[in-house]
Amino acid sequence: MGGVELFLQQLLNGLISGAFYALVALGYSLVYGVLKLMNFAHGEIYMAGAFLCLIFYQFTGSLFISICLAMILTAILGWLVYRLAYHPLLNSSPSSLLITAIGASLVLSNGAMFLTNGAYYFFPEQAFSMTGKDSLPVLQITLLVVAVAVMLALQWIVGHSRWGRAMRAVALDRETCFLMGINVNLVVGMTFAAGSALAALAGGLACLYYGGLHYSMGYMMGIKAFAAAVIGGVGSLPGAMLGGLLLGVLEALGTQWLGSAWKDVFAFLLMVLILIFYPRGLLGQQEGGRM
Amino acid sequence: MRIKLILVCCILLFLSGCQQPNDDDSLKVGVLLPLTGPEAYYGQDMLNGYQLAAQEINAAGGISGRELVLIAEDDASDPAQAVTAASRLVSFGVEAVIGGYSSGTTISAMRQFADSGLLFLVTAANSTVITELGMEQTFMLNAPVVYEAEMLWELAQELDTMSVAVLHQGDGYSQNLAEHLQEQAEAAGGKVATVEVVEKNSADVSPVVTAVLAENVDMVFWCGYHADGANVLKQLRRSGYQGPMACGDGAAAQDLILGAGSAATDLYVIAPPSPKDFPGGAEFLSGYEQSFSLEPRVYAPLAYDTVYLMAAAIEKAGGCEVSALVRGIAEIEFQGLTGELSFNDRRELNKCNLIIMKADLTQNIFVPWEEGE
Repeated sequence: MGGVELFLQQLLNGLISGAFYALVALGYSLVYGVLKLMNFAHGEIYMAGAFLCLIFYQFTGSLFISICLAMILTAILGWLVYRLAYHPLLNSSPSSLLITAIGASLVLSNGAMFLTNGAYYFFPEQAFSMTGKDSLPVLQITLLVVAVAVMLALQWIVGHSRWGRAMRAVALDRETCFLMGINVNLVVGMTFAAGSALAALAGGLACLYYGGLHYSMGYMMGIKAFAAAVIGGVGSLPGAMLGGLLLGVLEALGTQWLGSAWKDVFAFLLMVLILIFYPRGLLGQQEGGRM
Repeated sequence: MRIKLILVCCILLFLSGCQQPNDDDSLKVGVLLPLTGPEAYYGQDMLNGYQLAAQEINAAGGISGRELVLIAEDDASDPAQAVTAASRLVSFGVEAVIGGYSSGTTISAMRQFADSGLLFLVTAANSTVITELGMEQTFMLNAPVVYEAEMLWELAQELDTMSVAVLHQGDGYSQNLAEHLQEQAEAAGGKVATVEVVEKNSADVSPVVTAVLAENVDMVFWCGYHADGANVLKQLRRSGYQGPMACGDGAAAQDLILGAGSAATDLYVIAPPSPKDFPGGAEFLSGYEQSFSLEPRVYAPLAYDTVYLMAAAIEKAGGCEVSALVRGIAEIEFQGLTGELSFNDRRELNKCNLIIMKADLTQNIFVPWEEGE
C-alpha cells in the first residue's frame, strides 16, 4: 500500500468511526442544550439500542425495520430514563444530577449484564455480507451517508421546526417557557427521546459494521462521544458532528503514525487541549441559548 | 434519631453475620474470579467447575471430614477491584484460595494472599510474571505463557512464515505473551513487522487492520481474548487479509469461531484439549451439564482439577498450614481430569498441558492440529 492510499484508507476508517462518535455525541449535546446536564447514561443507551436492533433483526430479518423499531424503543427507554432518573431531581444541585446520571448508567449496564449473562453476541453474517471485499465500499458509503443525512435532518429540525423552536426556547430559559405555556416536560422528554434514537441508530449501524455486542460496549463509546461533544463545544449540534468526525480521523491517523497503543490517548489529550485553549469547544457559543 | 441509629446498627450486625457462616467445622476456601465485567462469562464457567468438584467432594464426605465451602469474590477483571476482593476473602477467614482468570488481576491480588499465608492455586492466568514474583505459596496450573509463545513460533515456522504482526490488548496476559513472542522471533531470526495494541471492547479496529495490511505480513498473532479476536479477524478478512491467524489460550473459545463466522478460516489457537478428549471426560461433561444446564467452556476442567488438587494437598498435609501444603504440592504427582499435574521449582507445571488446535468450520469447533496438514 502506498503512502497516499494508506492515508486515504485511514481517513475513511476515521470518518466512519467518527460518524458513530458524532451520532452519539449529538445526544449529549441535545440534552446538555436543554437541561445543562451531562447524561452519562447515554453510552448505555447506545448499548441498549444495539441489542434491541439485534433482537429485532432475529425476529424480522430486515435490517431497515429492525433499526427503525430499535430507534423507537430506545427513544422510549431514553424518555423513561429521563422520567425516572432525572425528572424528580431537576431542581436539585448539579452534583446530585451528576450522581444520578452515573447511577442510571450503572443500572442500565448491569441490567444488560444480567439479561445477557455477560456473553458476547454477534450480528448474523447474512445481515450484510462482511467477507466480500467488493461490498465493503458500498457499506462504508451507506453508513456515512445515513449518518450525515440524519445529522443534517436533526440540524434542520432544531433550527426550523416548531419543536426545534420550543427546544431552543427551553434551552434559553426553562422557567419563562413554563410561564409562556410551553409544555417543558414534554419538550425535555422528547429531547431525551431524540438523542436516544440517534444513539440507537449509531449502535445498530456500528454493530452491523464492526460485529460484536456486549453489555459493556457503551462505556468506552460514551466516554469517547463525551470527548467529541466537549471538543466540538457542548450544546452545539454542528460542534458535536465536527468533534466526532475530528476525533475519529485523528484516532485513525494517530494509530497509523504513532502506534495503536496511543489510540485512546488522542481522544483525551485532544479534549484536554481544547478545554485549555478553547474552553467552549471549537464551535461552542456564549453561555445561554446555545444549541 | 437514637432508635434509627440502633436499628441501623442491628441491621449492620445482621448483615455482617450473614457473610460469615457460623459452622466452624467447615473448610472455607476463597475463590477469586471475574463474575461481572467483560470476562464474567468465563469466570462463571470456572466457578461452575469449582462448584462441581466441591459438590462431589462434599457428597463423598468432605476434605478430611470437613465440609468444603467456596466463598467467591468478584474481581471484575479489574486489577484495582481484585485487591479489594482479596482483602475481603482474607477477612472472611478463608484457609486457601483458588481462582485467577486474567493475569492482571491475579498479580495484583496475590501479594495479599502471600502476606496472609494462604495457599493460592492459580487456575487459568498464566503470565510468567506470576511466578517470577517468587511467592512460594502460589502455584500456576496452566502452562506459562512462554510455552505458548514457543508453540506459536513453531507453528509460524511450520507454516513457512516470513513476517508476522503481533497484536495484543495491553493487559497482563496479552502483553506478556506478545513480549515472549517477540523474544522467540528475535532468537530464531524471524521478523516481527509490527506490534499493535487493540484496546478491550473497541468495536473499531480498522486503523489497526489498515496498519497491519500495510506491512504485508503473512501471519497474524492475536495475543488477547476471544471477543476482540473475532472482531479483529473479521475486519482483517474483510479488508483482504488471507493468511493465517494464531491465538494464545486467552482466545481459545468456541465463540471465537462463532463470532468470526466465515472469516474463521486458517485460524489456530493454543489451548487445553477439550473435555471429551480426556479419559473420564464424558463423566465430567454430563455432571457439568446436569448441574448447570450448559456446556463447560475452556477452563472448567482445569478448575475442576484445581479443587481436587487442593483437596489432595490438604488431606496429605493434614490441614491448611501453608508450609506443609506447599511442600505437599511440590511433591505431589496428581492425576487429574486434564492429565498429570506436577510442579517444577518455579511452581509451574512440569509438562505443558496445551496443544495447537485449528478451527474446523464444518462443525464450528477447534480440533487438534497435526503437523504437515
